[in-house]
Amino acid sequence: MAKRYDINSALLRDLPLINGSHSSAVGQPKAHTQSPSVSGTAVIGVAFKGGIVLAADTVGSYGTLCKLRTIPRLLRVNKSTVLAMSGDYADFQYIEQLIAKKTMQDFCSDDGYEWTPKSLHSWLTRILYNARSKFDPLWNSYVVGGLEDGVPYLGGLTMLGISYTAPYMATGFGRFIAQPFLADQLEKNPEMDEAAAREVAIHSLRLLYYRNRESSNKYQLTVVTKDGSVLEPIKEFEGVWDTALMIRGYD
Amino acid sequence: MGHFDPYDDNGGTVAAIAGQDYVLIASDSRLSTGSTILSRFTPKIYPLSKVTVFACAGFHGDVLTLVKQLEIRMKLYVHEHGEEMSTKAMMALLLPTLYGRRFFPYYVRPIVAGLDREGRGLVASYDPIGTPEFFDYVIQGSAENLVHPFLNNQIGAKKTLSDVPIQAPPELTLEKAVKLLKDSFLAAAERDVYTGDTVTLMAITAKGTETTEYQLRRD
Amino acid sequence: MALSNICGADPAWECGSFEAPTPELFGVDYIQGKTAISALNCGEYNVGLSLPTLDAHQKIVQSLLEAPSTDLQLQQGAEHTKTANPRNLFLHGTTTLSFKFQGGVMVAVDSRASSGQQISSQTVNKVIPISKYLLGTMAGGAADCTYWMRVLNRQCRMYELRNRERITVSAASKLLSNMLYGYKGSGISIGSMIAGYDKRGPGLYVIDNDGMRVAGNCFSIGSGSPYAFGVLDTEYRWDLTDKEAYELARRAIYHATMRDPYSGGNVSVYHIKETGWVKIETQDVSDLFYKDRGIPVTA
Repeated sequence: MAKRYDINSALLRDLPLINGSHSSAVGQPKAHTQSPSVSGTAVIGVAFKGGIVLAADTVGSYGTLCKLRTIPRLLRVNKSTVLAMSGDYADFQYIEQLIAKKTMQDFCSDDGYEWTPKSLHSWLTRILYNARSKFDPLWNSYVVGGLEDGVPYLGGLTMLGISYTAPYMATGFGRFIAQPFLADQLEKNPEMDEAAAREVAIHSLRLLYYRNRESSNKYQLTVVTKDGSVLEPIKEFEGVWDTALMIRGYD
Repeated sequence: MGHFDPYDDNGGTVAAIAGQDYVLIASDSRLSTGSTILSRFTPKIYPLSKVTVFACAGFHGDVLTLVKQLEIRMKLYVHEHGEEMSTKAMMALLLPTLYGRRFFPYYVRPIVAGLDREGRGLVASYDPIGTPEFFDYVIQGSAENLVHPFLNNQIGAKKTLSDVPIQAPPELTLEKAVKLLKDSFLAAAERDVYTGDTVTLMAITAKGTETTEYQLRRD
Repeated sequence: MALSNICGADPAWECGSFEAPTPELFGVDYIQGKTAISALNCGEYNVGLSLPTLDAHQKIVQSLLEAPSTDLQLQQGAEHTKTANPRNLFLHGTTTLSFKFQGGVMVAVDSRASSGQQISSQTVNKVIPISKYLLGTMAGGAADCTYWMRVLNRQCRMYELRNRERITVSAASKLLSNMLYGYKGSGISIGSMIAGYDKRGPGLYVIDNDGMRVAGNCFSIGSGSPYAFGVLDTEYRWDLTDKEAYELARRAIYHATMRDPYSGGNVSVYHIKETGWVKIETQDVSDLFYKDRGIPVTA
């Protein structure tokens, strides 16, 4: 028989939901992130013929402060699988550790098992869903990319455990700024090659750079093809601000 | 500090029609959150066995978790009994599965559709905590209020009672059912912002499953 | 299934609890035509009936679900801020009644289920057979009722197998109310009448989600119950004939469906006698409406 439910302690509606440091409050579960602090903004994912490309800029924002200017938000998991993250950076680093730990376990098992994009996507979905179900969410959105049995795979994932696949995707502010552009490009050129996909991804970041205060022109790409995955060095593009001179009415 | 909300409504519509020797089940493929579209390529329709299909609108995180659980139960059942769980058994299983989360509900609008052991179509729909009911036709999700009256009229033959004799609806053929569901989704995409992109129709008969896709409005 | 053979259950039956019910009993309830009462009470499928957990987060979840934010935001016209809240989708609303009389026990119910303003179904079966001699009625949360009746169904069957005799109405209702008492205050919503016939004669108990359990001769539960009581209390006598009792039960539900927006659909009437329960009829209240006014219906 279940324990009789305590009716008095059920009336906790007015108590604030608390975060980690106060988690010793009676009857309250532990909850680390109730809102993000240092966070990364949009990431872009594009599938092309024979592979995928993920792109992200390298800013870690702290509210409106550009606190960290060069942090990598892409992760190379293995030769077939890569990951891009937006949202809380600390939670991402926790996930990085989890992935590293599990990769090591798999390596030690020596049974030939390795992450594939699909398995990582599925596993991450469980991690994020279980965290949200404990009211202790990991404040991240992810794009998982790679080759699943040689076929390009692109999976999106939100902090509540909503996962989906699509041939192109953008997280955060990129959903508004970059997604329509990506859809348009893939419609015009459904058999996109790697060069075109890189171009489209970088242009998406450029669009974000112009309109998203959390973005920067410092960025990183990672590409997965049948030749393996590469996490490329951080680069910069030049903003073209000529049009700014034509804007009137805001000065 | 913002209040963390563990739920989201990802929209989408699922529908099913049960016939004498077939069952038809359909879903749109749009996945939205708030005012943005997450994906246009996510039909919320999940085959569980050769003759049973699960379809579910609502919070997609819960939908995926629920589907995983049902798939696991189906797998275990096959290992234990050497055959797939019947449609009716799956329908019965969903009740305690949903009710097990009575105090932190799955925010879902599920339909189970399939053939029974005699090959007849069977459709059941549920509320988020597991109230089951069998129907000849059912629609759940963001466009249900919009489309249900249409199906009531076309299949349920609902009319005023005073002057028109009530007739049992004529036998609904698979072709007619496909047409009705297609029309339903076209109408839904026209007037519901959370329904659109493509509709996936699965027709299950004794011969097997046939899946077709039709384009809907993408705006 | 071997277990069902040992238990004496016949796996061929696809619905009902203790013995194979005839289609008439479980009705092919007009309109939808499908076996309404379903396989769900069937022993073959009575697997995995784990009880729902009351975990630590429930308090927070409860506050979340009960927060009136949705209504407030809607009133203020905020768009897209409507919190996704499964509670808005639970099925509610009912008129049910039951009374003892010289001929046994009558049970009558409507068939409407609504979630908020939406009519979710007009063909819900709100009478749940627990055994050949026991019926339960559903009011409140539909899932809560369905689930706990299924648990009760199993408990009663276990009782019979262990004790080699039929469970009394009193014991059955007490099993349920004791179970519910363990969940008191958790938000479960059930208002049920357990009616039946046992070695002591006709039995009738009303139980609710607080764990209350009361015996009596005449009850009605649900949003339409005040209307039903109006009819019922006026005409109720112990020595009603069977026919008068059917008519009274039907009329009380019918008038309730006419006044209560959350009740409607069909009226179903059951009679429990010494030999077990029988379903007397299921009628669309719209038909009754026209009959009431002497307008012929060509059905």
